[in-house]
Amino acid sequence: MSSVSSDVFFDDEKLQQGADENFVEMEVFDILDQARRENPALTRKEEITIAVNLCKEKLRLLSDSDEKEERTLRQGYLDKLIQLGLEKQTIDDEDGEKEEIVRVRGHSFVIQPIRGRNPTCEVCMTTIWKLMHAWRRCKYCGLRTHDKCTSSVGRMCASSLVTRRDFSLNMNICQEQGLAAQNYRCHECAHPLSFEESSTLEPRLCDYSGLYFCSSCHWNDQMTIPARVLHNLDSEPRPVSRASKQLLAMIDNRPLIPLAAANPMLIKLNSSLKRITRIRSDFLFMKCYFVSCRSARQLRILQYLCRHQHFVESADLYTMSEMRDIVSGKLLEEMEDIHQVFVKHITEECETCKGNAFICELCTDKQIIFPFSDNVSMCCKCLAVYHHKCFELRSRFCPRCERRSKRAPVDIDPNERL
Amino acid sequence: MSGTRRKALLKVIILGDSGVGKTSLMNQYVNRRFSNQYKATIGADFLTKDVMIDDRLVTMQIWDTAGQERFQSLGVAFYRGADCCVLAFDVTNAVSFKSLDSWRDEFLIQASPRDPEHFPFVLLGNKIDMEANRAVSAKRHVTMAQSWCAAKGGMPYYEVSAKEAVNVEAAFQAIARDALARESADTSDFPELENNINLNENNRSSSSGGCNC
Ligand SMILES: Nc1nc2c(ncn2[C@@H]2O[C@H](COP(=O)(O)OP(=O)(O)OP(=O)(O)O)[C@@H](O)[C@H]2O)c(=O)[nH]1
Ligand SMILES: [Mg+2]
Ligand SMILES: [Zn+2]
Ligand SMILES: [Zn+2]
Ligand SMILES: [Zn+2]
Ligand SMILES: [Zn+2]
Ligand SMILES: [Zn+2]
Ligand SMILES: [Zn+2]
Repeated sequence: MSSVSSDVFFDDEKLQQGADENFVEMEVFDILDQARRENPALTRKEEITIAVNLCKEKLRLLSDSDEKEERTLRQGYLDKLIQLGLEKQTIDDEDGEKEEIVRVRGHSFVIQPIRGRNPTCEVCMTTIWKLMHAWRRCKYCGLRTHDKCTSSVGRMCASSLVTRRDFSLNMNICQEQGLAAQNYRCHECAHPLSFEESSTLEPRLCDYSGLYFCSSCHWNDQMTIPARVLHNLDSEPRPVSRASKQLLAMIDNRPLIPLAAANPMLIKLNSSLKRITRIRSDFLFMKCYFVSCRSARQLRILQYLCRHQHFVESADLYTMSEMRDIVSGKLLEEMEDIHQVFVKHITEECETCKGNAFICELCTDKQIIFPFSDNVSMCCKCLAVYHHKCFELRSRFCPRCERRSKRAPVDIDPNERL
Repeated sequence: MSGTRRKALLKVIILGDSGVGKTSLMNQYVNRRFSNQYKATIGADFLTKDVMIDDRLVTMQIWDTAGQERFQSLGVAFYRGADCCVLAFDVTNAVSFKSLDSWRDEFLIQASPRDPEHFPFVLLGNKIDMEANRAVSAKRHVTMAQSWCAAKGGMPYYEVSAKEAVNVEAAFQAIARDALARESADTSDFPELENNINLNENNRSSSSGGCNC
C-alpha cells in the first residue's frame, strides 16, 4: 500500500500564510541565533529588542505596494511585532510583580518557596538549606541553585538548547573517545580527571554523549539512551551527565525518533513494530475521513490520540516515552484501542464516513472498502482503492486516473457549442 | 413487502465544479441561510431535511461534495443507492458548464445504477442574480442548457440563485417529487422481481464470502 501524505487536505491559502509566517520566524531566528553566538548571556528581553528592531527595519524597507505577496509579508512582520510586544510586557510584569528573574546562559531562574525537601545546588554541589538559603530554579529546565550561585552557572539551559533550529538528538551509540581526547579534564567544567585511585578525580562516562565528566557534572543519573532504543530496542536506563539528563528529560515527549527511516530492518523483523507501523499509516488515512466528517469533529475523535497527536501529522516520528512503551509493549496496546475506536466510527457508526468509502471498480463486489482495509491497494496518483487482487490482475491500471486524464482542462468558449 | 410502503428516504447527490454554489444551494434549501464567504468543501458530507410531498413525509438526505480535486473525498461509495443526482453549474462561468459531461459520467460509472439511461439527473444553473456577469446572454444560455439537457435524455433544468433564494425551494421540491414518482413506478412495475433480486444477491454474497477476485 502506498502512503498518502497527511496534507492532502490542507488549504493552499493557509499553507501560503504559514510559509510567510515561517519566513518571518526564520529571519528572526537567524538574527537571534547569531546574536546568541556573539553573546551567550543574552537575556530574552535583549533578544526581543533585537527582534523588534529587525521587524521595524524590514517593514520600513517593504514598499507599500498592494501586491498580495508584499501584503502578507507586511502582515507577517506586524503580527510578529505584536507578539514580541506582548511577550516583553509579560516579562516586564513578571519582573515587576515578583522578585526579578535572573537570566544566565538561557536559564530563567526564579526565586523558590521554602517548602519541601532540601535539594542540591548544581553549581556548588552543596545542599540548599531552604530555611537558610534563598534559592532559585530555572522555570524551563528545572535547574536548582543557591541564589548566590546562579551567576556562576556554566551549563547552558537544556530548554534553550532543544528549541534551537539546528538541534538534533545524538543518534550514535556512545562513541567513547577516551580520556586523553579530553585532556584528562571534565567535559563541562574542565576539572582534572584521572583513573587513579583518588575518588575525587574519578571520571564518569556519559552514555548519551560518550564524554567523561567529573562527579559534580555527572551524578550517575540513569536515562534511556535514544541511540540504543532506536537501533536495538534497548530501553535500559544508563548513566548520563547532568546536562544530558536535563536534555533527555526535556525532549521526552517530543517526536524526534525517526524509527522507520533509521532502522527499516528492525521493523521488518519485529512483528509488533510492523503492526505499530501499519496502525500509524492507517491513522493518516483515518484523519482524511475525520477532517470531512462533522460528527467526528463534534466528537473530537482525534482527542483519543492524547499524547500521540503527532501520529496524524507524520508517519514515522516517535517520542522517547513512546519508544520505551514500544519496548514494554504498552504502546501497541494503547494504539490498538484507539485504532478500534476509529475503525468503529468510520466503518460502522458514521453515515458520512461510510459514504466516503470505496467500492472496488474492478469487480462486481459491492462491499465497501477503505484505504486501511486488509488486502486492498491504492492508486498512488488519485488515491482510489481497489481489491489488491483486482488491481494486480489489471497490472495496476486505474480507471479513475484514466477518466481524470480524459477530463483535460479545456477552456472552450461556451458559445462554440451553440 | 407491500407495494405502497417504500423507504421514505431520498438520497440526492450534488455534483459540479468548485465554486458553482453546491454548498450554498444545499444551505439555502436546508437552513435558509446564505453566506458570501467561500469556504471550500472538504470531502463529502450530507444534511437531511424532512419534506411533505403530497401528504407523504419524506426525508431528503442531500450529499454535498467537494468540487476541488484535491479536496474530493477519498471514496464515493455514497453514490450507490442515490435516488437523484443534481448537476450544478454557475451561469457566469462557462468552464463550469463544460465540466457537466464529465461529472455526469463520473457519477454513472461510480454509482452504476441499474438503468443508467433513465437515471434521474437534474441540472441547476446557479447565480442567476448576477445577471450582468453572465458568461453568455441570458437567452442563449437557457437555450444552451436546455439543449444539453435534451441531449441527455431530457433532464429537467432550473435556473436558480442560492443567494436570493430564487427557485431553490421549487427545484428541490421537484427533485423530490420526481424521484418519488420514479420509485413508486419501479415498485408497482416489478414488486416480485425486486424481492427476488435481493434474495439472489444475498445468496451470492453469503456463499462466495465477499470478493473472490
Ligand atoms: N451571487 C451569488 N453568489 C453565489 C451564489 N451561490 C453561491 N455563491 C457564492 O459562490 C461562492 C462559492 O459557493 P459554494 O457554495 O461554496 O461553492 P461550492 O460549489 O460548494 O464549492 P466547492 O465546495 O469548492 O466545491 C461563495 O462565495 C458563495 O457565496 C448565488 O446564487 N449568487
Ligand atoms: Mg462546497
Ligand atoms: Zn534552564
Ligand atoms: Zn550553590
Ligand atoms: Zn565537571
Ligand atoms: Zn464520520
Ligand atoms: Zn475487486
Ligand atoms: Zn488512480
